[in-house]
Amino acid sequence: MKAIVILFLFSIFFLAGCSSLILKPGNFAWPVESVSKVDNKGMIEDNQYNFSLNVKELLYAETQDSVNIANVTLRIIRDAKGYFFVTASKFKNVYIFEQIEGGLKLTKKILIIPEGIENPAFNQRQPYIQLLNGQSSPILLTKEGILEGEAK
Amino acid sequence: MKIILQFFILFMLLSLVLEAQEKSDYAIVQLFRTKAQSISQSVDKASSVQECAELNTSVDAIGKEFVNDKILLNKAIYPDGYDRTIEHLRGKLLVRQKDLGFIESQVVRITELETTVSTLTDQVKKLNMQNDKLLADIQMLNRNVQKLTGDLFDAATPLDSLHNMIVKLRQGLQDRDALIFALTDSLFLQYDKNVSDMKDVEKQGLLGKIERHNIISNVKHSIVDNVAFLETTQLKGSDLVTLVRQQKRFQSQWAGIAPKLTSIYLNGKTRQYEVSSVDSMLAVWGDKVDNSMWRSLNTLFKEKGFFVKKFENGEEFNSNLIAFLSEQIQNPNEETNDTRFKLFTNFHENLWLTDLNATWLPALTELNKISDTQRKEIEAKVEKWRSIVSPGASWLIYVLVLLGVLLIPILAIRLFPKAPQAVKETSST
Repeated sequence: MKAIVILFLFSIFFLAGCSSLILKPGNFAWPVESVSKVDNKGMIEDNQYNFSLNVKELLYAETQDSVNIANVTLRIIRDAKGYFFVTASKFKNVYIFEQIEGGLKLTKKILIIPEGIENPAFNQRQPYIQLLNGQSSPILLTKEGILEGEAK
Repeated sequence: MKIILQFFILFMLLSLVLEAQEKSDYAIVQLFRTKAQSISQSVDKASSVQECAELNTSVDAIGKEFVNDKILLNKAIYPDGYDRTIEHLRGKLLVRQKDLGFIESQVVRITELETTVSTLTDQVKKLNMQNDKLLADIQMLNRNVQKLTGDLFDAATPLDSLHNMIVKLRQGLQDRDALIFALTDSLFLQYDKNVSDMKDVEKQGLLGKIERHNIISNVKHSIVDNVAFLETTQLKGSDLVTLVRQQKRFQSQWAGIAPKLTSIYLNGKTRQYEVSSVDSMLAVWGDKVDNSMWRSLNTLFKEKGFFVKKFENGEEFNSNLIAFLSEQIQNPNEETNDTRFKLFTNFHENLWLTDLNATWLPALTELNKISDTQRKEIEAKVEKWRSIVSPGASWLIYVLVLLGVLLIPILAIRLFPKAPQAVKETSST
């Protein structure tokens, strides 16, 4: 009996120690997008939001070219839930990432326009992300995809 | 049905909101940052009271321009945001003014003038656009109506929409002319002294402002538009007189500022050429306006059926009109009194009272095309013509003569009565 009680108490303590601590609600929205040029090594760096990231893989995924990567201007914005929305001029897609340890992991790729976006820009319109696309109507995005607007 | 209507309204609202938000927030933030940075750098370099006043206006302007994006800027620009950036610029400017030893009231007065200048510049820009559009519309409408009516049409054809546009454009041109000169005055007033007494730095500053506010090009634009308006509309009568007056007013206002601009442009041959080119443009405008005026007056006589010899200036107008009136008085063709009376009545009622005496003679005198004496001479001739052909007058003369003839024997009888009969009888006895 004594052994059972000890085992029971031990399992309670063990389970309590293992349960994750969740902090909610949180708002990770950036007020404006970050606009950064990719360097020769495929890195971008932002002083306002204080991060750096290697985006070589993303550029290869979009353009199938891992050589001519310098001087591409990437536009990144983070929504309230903490997802990162990434695109650039001439990109066909908007890429949505979530944060993982020491990097970002793709969660969704949204096709906006097969010919490439002309002058993209992200605006924070909580709870959405607004994508401006040159003269076309703006598009509202969520981490799931396009909520409103025209994708071609 | 109600649900469909609600959905439709919601859709429209959403579209409007989306349309209104089409600006990139990032671009707004960058623009604000760049402008604020530029003002801050200019404050460091400012060395005159006018520059400080101008920067004061710039801070006000940036504040107004971005006030709607205040929330965004406060979030996006860390740590200053919108409010502290503006506050910081004002503080920096105040410190600079104190360092340079400028009196606050002086800066405030010049700032007010600078604000007036900015407002006037904006108004001139708006009027430029509005007038350009109206002029283009009038030209297009003219062409369209001419296509439809052929030679039957001229711009004086009563067509409500065209007439309204013409009236609007004429007002727009007048307003713009007035604004340009008010703007120029405000620029010179900031320096509170003659150009000859200004330091080189001040002259440079004023020169910069004159160029930044496009004074010369606005004056030129105005002249070009006025000439185009004159040629497009082919106005007549009092409308044309208004245009002539406008040209003269413009000319005299330009005469007021041209010497100042010339002395400001003393070291730049190209710029001096700009001033003299305005003079020649004004002369062209003056000639065109004068030609239109004489053409319109010649046409007026012709349209009303009076054969006054063609004239092209004030002297010719006076002598030819006097010659016409003298001919009517002398009656060399020996026309009957009835015909002469009818001609005079036609002249008097359809030309003299309605146009010549009401509009043209006062205007020609005012514009120094004819002298006061010449005008009086014309009026006297018309009066003489009237007295000669007026049937009322001749009838009265006949009656008076008849009365005179009848009265003479009556008076004679009364004044010189026959000698009394009784005296005669007494003497016989």
